[in-house]
Amino acid sequence: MSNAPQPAEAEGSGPRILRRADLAIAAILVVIAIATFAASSGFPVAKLGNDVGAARFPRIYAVVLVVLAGLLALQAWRRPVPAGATAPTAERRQALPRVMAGMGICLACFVAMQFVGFVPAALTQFVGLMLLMGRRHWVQTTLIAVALTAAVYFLFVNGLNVPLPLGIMFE
Amino acid sequence: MNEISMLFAGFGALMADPLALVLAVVGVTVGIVIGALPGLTATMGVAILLPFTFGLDPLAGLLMISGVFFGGIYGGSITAILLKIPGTPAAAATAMDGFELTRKGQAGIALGTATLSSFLGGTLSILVLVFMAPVLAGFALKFSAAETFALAVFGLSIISSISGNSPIKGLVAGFLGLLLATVGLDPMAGLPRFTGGFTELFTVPFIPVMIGLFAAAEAFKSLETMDLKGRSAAALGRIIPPWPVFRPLIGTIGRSSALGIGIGIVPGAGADIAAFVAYNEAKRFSHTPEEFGKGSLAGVAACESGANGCTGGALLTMLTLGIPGDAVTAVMLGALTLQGLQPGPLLFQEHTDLVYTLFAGMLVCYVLMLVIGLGLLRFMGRILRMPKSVLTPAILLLCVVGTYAINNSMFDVGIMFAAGIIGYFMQKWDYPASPVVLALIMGPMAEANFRRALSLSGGSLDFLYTRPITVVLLSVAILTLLMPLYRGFFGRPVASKDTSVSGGVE
Repeated sequence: MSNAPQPAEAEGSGPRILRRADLAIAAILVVIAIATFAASSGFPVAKLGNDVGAARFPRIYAVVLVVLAGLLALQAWRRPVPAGATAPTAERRQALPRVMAGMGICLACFVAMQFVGFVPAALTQFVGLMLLMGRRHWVQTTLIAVALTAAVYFLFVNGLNVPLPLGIMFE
Repeated sequence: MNEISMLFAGFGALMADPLALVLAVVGVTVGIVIGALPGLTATMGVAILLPFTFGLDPLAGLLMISGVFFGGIYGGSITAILLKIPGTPAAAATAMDGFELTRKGQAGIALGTATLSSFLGGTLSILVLVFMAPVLAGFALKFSAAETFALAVFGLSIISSISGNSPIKGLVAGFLGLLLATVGLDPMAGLPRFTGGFTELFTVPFIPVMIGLFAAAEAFKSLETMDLKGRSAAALGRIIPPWPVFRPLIGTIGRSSALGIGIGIVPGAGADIAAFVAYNEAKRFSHTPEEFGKGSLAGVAACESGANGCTGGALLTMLTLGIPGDAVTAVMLGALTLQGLQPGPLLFQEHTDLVYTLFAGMLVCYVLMLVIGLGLLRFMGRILRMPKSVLTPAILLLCVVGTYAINNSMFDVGIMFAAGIIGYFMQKWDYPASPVVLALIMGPMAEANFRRALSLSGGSLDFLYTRPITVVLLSVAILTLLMPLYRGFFGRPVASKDTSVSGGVE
């Protein structure tokens, strides 16, 4: 769950970042549209005489995305950005690296799960994320991770007959 | 009226069959639990329990499955409200306002409202099924590909309504979702599109994307701050809403239930579509539409009553015409056939007693859903007492397991994480995630039915303007789409938004 509202973003830096993000996304949308046209050029022509074919709808969506990219860029350009900015707080500076670290832990465990299976990877992810969020009591953290991982495991595998990954090493 | 006396006779027959009542309790409980768990849907629950019905008498077996169906649709709202993890696709709409209410410390009221609304919507839909089945069956027959296409377009037009502060960004999210929905097998020719050779992409990875965009993204957002003091994530508070708070919602519940029943009757349109359409109409009729998306009880009530109102409509089409309205009723159709019962007009004539006993049992199932649901809420609400430093990793673990459970595929888990990362940045930069989910639901329905309608009309587009239901739906869709867009783009420029506060409003 999210926290109570964060300290207010430094005046000017939030809107500036938002404008850059919108402009970058507008550019990405154009790239996606071009890629769609390129990828759909190889689709076969419809065999049914009255069908529009497999490429029609994706291309319509791609054209609309290009139009929206233009509107997005225009809207970003029109949006007022207050002049001057103060540095973000220390907490705000640490927020994104912490999130990226959390994403990294999840992705690493996702890769590991395919080799070692659910239990070791899930335990590692659990402990890693709890430590990332500030827990420092190693024993308590590990016990909580073991208990909750076991609960999820038994609920799905034994309770609902839903198998969980065993991992290539143990299959 | 004849139906009333037959219904009372059905109650009498039901009371004489305690096994059926016990299995109804089992079905509802299993349904609520399965519905609450991400990745497990009502369809899966029905499919899991179907083999157990082989040895049972028809009434007991069908009631158990009905219980799973009703409980599953409702159960998705619990985790949607508490944790922003929609347990079922229909709950994605509930998560929009339900989770905002949890943030405000009103999780209990939101859950109680969802439970009561589900009960009222579902009960109303069963009563409509009992008394109006033959009349409404005729309405279902008027829907062909053209009308279903128009319904899908109407559903898609809701994107502009749930786009929060920026309709442009909402449309971007929506059309990206539509493009994503074209990944997979072409609906007419069956050829792979944009799959890159991955067979896992032959079907739209809708649920992994939904879990990622909603639940994983929110969990990643929670990582922004450390939880040094181990505070509880949120408070549950009071569960049953006070009467002065609930009374204004009754009109919304009635309207949403009617919409749900109407949409449930249409084959191929399920609870997820009903929930979003009901939400949109509740916002349209509200005196305070600006509160939707920021924690409106009316939003929660509309979604839940609309989704559960769909159950009676879907059952109506299945029982009277033998046409399953969605995946769950398709499985139930199989269950009926296995029991030697052929759905259709003759079912009501040849098995009248059984049919009305089944209707009575369905009403009892909804009462059980209300009682069991309210009883489980305090227990499930303890989830909120967990510190964030424990709850956030638990949510991410549940996302992994729930996603894997769909197809036993780590590929789906990878998609879920990708969607979670994208969803996090979408939140940071004010791009709403709900339009993506809506587009993934409606996009395939729109394209497939448009192309089908075009084939049926011999390549002519006249089906767009010669069929009354199609014209009405498309006209409303155009109005729904254009008005917020016009206000958003040609109104005053939006003031700089503090992106660190709460991200995009969905």
